[in-house]
Amino acid sequence: MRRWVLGIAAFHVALAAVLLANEGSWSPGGSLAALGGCAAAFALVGLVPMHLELRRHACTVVLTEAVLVVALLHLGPVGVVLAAASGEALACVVSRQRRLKVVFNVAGTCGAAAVAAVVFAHMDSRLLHPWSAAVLAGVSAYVVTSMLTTSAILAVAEHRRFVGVLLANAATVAVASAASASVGLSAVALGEVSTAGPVLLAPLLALVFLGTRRMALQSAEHMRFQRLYEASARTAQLAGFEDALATLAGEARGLVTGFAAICCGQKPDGEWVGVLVDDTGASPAGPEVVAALVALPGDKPQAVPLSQGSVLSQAMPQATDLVWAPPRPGTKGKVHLAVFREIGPDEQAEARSEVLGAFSGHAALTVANALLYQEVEEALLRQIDLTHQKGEFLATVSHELRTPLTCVLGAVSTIRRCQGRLGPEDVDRMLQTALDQGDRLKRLIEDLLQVASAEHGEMRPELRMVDLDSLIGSIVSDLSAPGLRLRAEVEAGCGGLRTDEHKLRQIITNLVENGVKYAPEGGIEVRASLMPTLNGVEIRVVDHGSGIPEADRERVFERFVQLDQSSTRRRGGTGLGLYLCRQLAGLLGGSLTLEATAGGGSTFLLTLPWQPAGTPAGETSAVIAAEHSSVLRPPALTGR
Amino acid sequence: MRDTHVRRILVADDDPDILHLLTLNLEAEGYDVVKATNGEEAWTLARNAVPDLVVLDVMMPERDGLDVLTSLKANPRTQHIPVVLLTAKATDAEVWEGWRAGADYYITKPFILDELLHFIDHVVEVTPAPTV
Repeated sequence: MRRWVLGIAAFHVALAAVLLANEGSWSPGGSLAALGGCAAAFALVGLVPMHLELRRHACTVVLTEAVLVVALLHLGPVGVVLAAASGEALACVVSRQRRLKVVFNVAGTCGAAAVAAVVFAHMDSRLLHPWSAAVLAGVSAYVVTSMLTTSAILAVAEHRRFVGVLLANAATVAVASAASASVGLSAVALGEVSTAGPVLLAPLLALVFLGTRRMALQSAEHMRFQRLYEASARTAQLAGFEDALATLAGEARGLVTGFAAICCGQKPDGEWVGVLVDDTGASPAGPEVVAALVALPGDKPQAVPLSQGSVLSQAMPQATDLVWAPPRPGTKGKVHLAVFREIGPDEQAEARSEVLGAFSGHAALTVANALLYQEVEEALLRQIDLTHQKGEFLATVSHELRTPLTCVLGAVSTIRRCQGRLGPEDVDRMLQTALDQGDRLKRLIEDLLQVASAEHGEMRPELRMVDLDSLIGSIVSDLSAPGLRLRAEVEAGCGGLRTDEHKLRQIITNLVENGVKYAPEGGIEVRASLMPTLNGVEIRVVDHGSGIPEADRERVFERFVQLDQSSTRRRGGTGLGLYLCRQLAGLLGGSLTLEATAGGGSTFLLTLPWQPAGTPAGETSAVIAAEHSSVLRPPALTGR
Repeated sequence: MRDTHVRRILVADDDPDILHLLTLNLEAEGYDVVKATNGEEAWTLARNAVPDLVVLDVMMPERDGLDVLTSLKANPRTQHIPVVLLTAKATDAEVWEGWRAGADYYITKPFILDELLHFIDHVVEVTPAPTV
């Protein structure tokens, strides 16, 4: 800040020195010296890190004056306007301005130069020194047009109304106009009196800039906090997680006048999701950009200059600067906010980061709310789903009970009704139908009763020593049928378990029957082996059918769920088999899961402990321990 | 007065036991029985054989009974054929849905055989035989 005031002052000293040396008259050498002074001032200004916008203002004022003084004498009015336009355009290209800003800035500078040129051309040289008048007109026009263009840029960048922004800055504009007018008048007066005018003009010019800048900053700060309040209020009601991220990014973008903003939020499962908002609207941010933001070091809001070639600068090639706010410690919702800007770091960076940090606190609250809302909504939907499933289950049970009953009653009434008219074969078939369907009805009722008792916790395992080898062997021989490949494989050492034989038989039988029903091709295998931890056994029932998609692998164990519930599909069961198996496995202290068979198909994995936890350790468990002592300490391990 | 024309009845049910016992009873009553084990088959047979009455199950593979019923009642060739829905769907809402789809009679499973046969006899008698 002070440096550029010094730079402008240095330029004016150089200008005055040239004027003094030439005794008030211009020569080509004088012009060169003036441009040299201008270049020196540029260099001085360029060395100092400062807000690019202010640097541009300082440079342009110096440039305007130099170009005005030199060009008016050498080029004439048209040349002045052209030179100003090309100078401004060059400055815009160098500072990588956006197209809209280039148009505003070039138009502003041209306007200022044109006003100066017109005044110069029509000035009566006897009343007023022509270049004094030109500088006066040029500076005044520049200050006013720069206020107008800055307001216009703010209006576009922050999606606000131009008139609104202008009115908010009206006080600043008025003061700036008055100040520049008084500076101009002083310049004119001093110019008339002495060629040392520019030297005395320098501090006044600096004062004008300081005053207008301070007012503009104060007004901007005020507006920023007001907008922070408004933005926070607007986001308080957001319920959807992704919507919240997009809205928060949009609000953050307005708060620090960036050209794009990303809001990343962490879901309860730990995944980070980001939404990018720029001129084209909201879009999901790439995972590598989100990861780069989340990985930014530091725990305080800060402005970060973007280094060339980094993931972030590749994502936003126009950006030179990133204002970034990490999640606040202790906040429930985790949120990162980042705003990309095309203007480099400046002395306001800290204040801006603070505003963004404050907003980030509200953002975290909003995201936490959105996540909570989502959680409640999901729980509600699960509840509705469960109710729906129960309804479907009732309909299924009703159908399943009615169908066999229809057959039993129908068969018996047919025999009675058609007495004497039926052949012995038909009578026989009717009787068989009645018997089979009666049996089916009985099994269904048993299943239902078992589910009811398992759900009410009335089921107790009857524990005794079970020989797994002979149990699996007998199940396989019971279920074997012609054309069905059924194999059993029991690893040595997992022979004896203390468990409920009847329930274990029920689980394995059910799983094998399930395989036979849905994937008979390729055969079914039952494999029993020791758990890797030696804490029990693993029993796998493997089929080679089409398999079950991963998304449905847990669902098959839910009560009342059948993968295809449509009414046109003939159902074989009640939707209780696998649910009951899992309940029984839990009762025996084990677990039942479904995984994919290598090469296609499904594998049900049943794990069972040597005996259910919490059961009293009796003599039998001592026997088990003795039996398995060789297993627990295999010879291969003792050698290590 | 019952004419000599043998009345044809289409029975559609995916349960083979029910299909068999219905066939047995209807044949004992002197009807010509055409059997279908799914909805699509029932729809094809109804159009080709043009039976005097259709007994339809609702929950069937390929196409459900209500769908077949709607098609039958929309087709000028088959819309005159009386349709009995014979189904395990027994809630008030399901029964109402069946009537609305255009059923001429709705019987829930388990059904009383006499009731079904009596209704079939009655309907077939009052319906004029097609002019051959």
